[in-house]
Amino acid sequence: MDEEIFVCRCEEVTLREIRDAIRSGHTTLSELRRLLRVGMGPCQGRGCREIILREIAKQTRVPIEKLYPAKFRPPSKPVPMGLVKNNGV
Amino acid sequence: MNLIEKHPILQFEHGKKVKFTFDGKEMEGFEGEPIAAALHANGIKILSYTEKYKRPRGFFCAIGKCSSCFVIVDGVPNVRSCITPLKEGMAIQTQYGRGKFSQEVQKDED
Amino acid sequence: MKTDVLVIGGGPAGLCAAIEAASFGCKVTLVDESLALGGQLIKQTHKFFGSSDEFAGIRGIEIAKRLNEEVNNRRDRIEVFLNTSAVGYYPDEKLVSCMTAEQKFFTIKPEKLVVATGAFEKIVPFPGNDLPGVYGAGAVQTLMNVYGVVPGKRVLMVGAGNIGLIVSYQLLQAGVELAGIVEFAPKIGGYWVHAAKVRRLGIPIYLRHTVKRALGEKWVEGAIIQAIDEKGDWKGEEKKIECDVICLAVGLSPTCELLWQAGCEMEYVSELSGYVPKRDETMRTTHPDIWVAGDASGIEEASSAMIEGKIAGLSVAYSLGRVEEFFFKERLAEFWEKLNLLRGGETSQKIKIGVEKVLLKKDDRDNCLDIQRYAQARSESQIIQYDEKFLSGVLNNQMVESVLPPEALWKNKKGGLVIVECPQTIPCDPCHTNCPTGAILPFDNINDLPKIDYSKCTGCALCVASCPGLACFVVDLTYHEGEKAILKLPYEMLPRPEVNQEVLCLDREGNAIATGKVIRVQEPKKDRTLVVHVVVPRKLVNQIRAIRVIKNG
Repeated sequence: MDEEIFVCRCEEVTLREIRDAIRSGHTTLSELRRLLRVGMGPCQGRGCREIILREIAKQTRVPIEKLYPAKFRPPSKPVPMGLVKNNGV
Repeated sequence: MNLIEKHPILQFEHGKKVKFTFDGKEMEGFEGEPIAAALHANGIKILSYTEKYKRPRGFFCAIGKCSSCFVIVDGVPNVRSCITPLKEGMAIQTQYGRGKFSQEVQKDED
Repeated sequence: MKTDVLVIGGGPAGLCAAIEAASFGCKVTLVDESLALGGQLIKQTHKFFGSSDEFAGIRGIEIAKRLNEEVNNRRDRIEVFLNTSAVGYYPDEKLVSCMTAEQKFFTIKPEKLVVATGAFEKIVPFPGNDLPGVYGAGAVQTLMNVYGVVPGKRVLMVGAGNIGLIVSYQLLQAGVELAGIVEFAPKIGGYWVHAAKVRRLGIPIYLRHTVKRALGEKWVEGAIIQAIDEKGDWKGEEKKIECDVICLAVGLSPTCELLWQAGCEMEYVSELSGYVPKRDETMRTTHPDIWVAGDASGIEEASSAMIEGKIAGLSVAYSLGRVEEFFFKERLAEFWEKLNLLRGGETSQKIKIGVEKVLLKKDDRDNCLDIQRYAQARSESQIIQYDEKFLSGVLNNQMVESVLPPEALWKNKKGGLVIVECPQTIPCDPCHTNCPTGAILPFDNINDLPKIDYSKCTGCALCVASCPGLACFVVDLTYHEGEKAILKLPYEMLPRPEVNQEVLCLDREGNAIATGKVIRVQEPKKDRTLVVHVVVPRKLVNQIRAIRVIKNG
């Protein structure tokens, strides 16, 4: 068996887990985010988003250009809660 | 410190030398330079261990974007060490998992 | 707080946008995440390509200083927030939330917004890719070139694009051992001259190879690399590489979160390396108050990022009514002309294709420029099928012949004649602009290959000192000892060679094939690129292209 490859470093999700999830029908990034928490950690998916989209593209045979990368919400960097509490938007 | 002594193009102008601690051990670095650079110069590569599999982590992007370089600084966890400047007397610690506030900091916050 | 223009990102694009907008009287706020302005420029020790009218021949660190000065000269109009991340855009309120040093949280409400947030290092999936010691190329540059910290003992570079090649050379300059460069593609992706620079110092480039796994438990203690076939399957034997750093230079992704949050129309364009916003020729996105510039609009070079920044800055000023329409159109056309020139070389063809895919074309012709009009830069590319040696940055024998001066003129020419080993169309002209005798002919298009009138060449070696690709050499065959010749070559390493010192002479692949004697060391441009005059065996003048100083003891 191949050694584990961590795709989402923040949430420690492996390539195998992602492939299994896609194979069992979770073929959008939004679903994978809810299921595995990929791309939901402090880096907000900067490192793994494209690798995951490429995996989805490979398995669903939909070109990556046609895939939707899921929603982006602020904050895009970790912000201590105390700061928001005192100066909130 | 593991510094480049001579360079054919560059001249390094380091700031003021300051003392800080990493997991209680005293170290030296330059004021205003990123914590991660100071730690690396002192031979520290592991900045944190992950929550699930306890894997060691160092920095990766060094420009504040990847969040791989979290450490605990003066009790505050999840500090991006690559873009946080070093200050005299900082107490830096390896972060385990998602990090917890130390009790003193919690008191200050309240 | 409120401002006319908020520029997010203080790299080449953002700085130029801020300077341009401020020069038309706009009040600009510039936020940047790092501790100093300049973005990646502050790490670039190499000289830039492009046109000498802009910054060609000048090192990135110097360009950063100049831009910084320009910002400082406009401090009455440009307010700078360092160590400040823009963390969110709220479209309903048109607010940008910012955080300084993880200590202060505040919002800015700009009339217009320029997003110049740069890029993020791509990661390749392999076991152990999360170990400490697997560093992005930008991180390695930051450590060694900004803070003077030794990144590691021995580095394996992954990726032979411009960043991989440049950082490899910089590692050698910093005195770090380089185990080699692995490249997934069958040829180097960066400028050929950048590859030649590291090849002649003995660094192997493993084409069609990739990292199979990182070794080590706590941190990187080595790497396994292996060749891959056309289908991407493993091929041949595994090879173990001794290293404590694996440096990833496998490309960048545009950083666009804020544009997504703002609801700008985005598109995945592989030629631009990821999701990028659709934009018009003024760099305005589909959001009427948001512009984009630099790597955030598609991964390219710093030189073009600076022009995109100027375009965005100019257009923002125009939209605020600070620029006359006629002047705006004229200046915009000038910028596009420069941009198209920069994109005229063979390595930039994919950029042009990518930009075409996301460029919004307006129906209203009166209010926009016909971009095609300015896209006259040469597009016929000269991609020839070369052998593997050439594709990894080494001239093959046949090509060596083609770059040599005519024998009859050469053998009696006191001072020698120039040899330019620049076989790829890239935007660059300092060899011509620095030639005092007109021997290196003017370029019709800066992407042309250099043409030489040998009858005018005096062998002065100013081109040797100024070529950003270190691709110019001078060979003087008239040295008084018949079996010897003088080679004048560029040198940017340590230790500095001394007159009368014996040095090793290296061929184009870094093999030591002779010893030579240094007879002169010049620094013609006073910019730390040395021109070293070495007496070498005459029969090897067409092979020797570098020297290594033999360390004492």
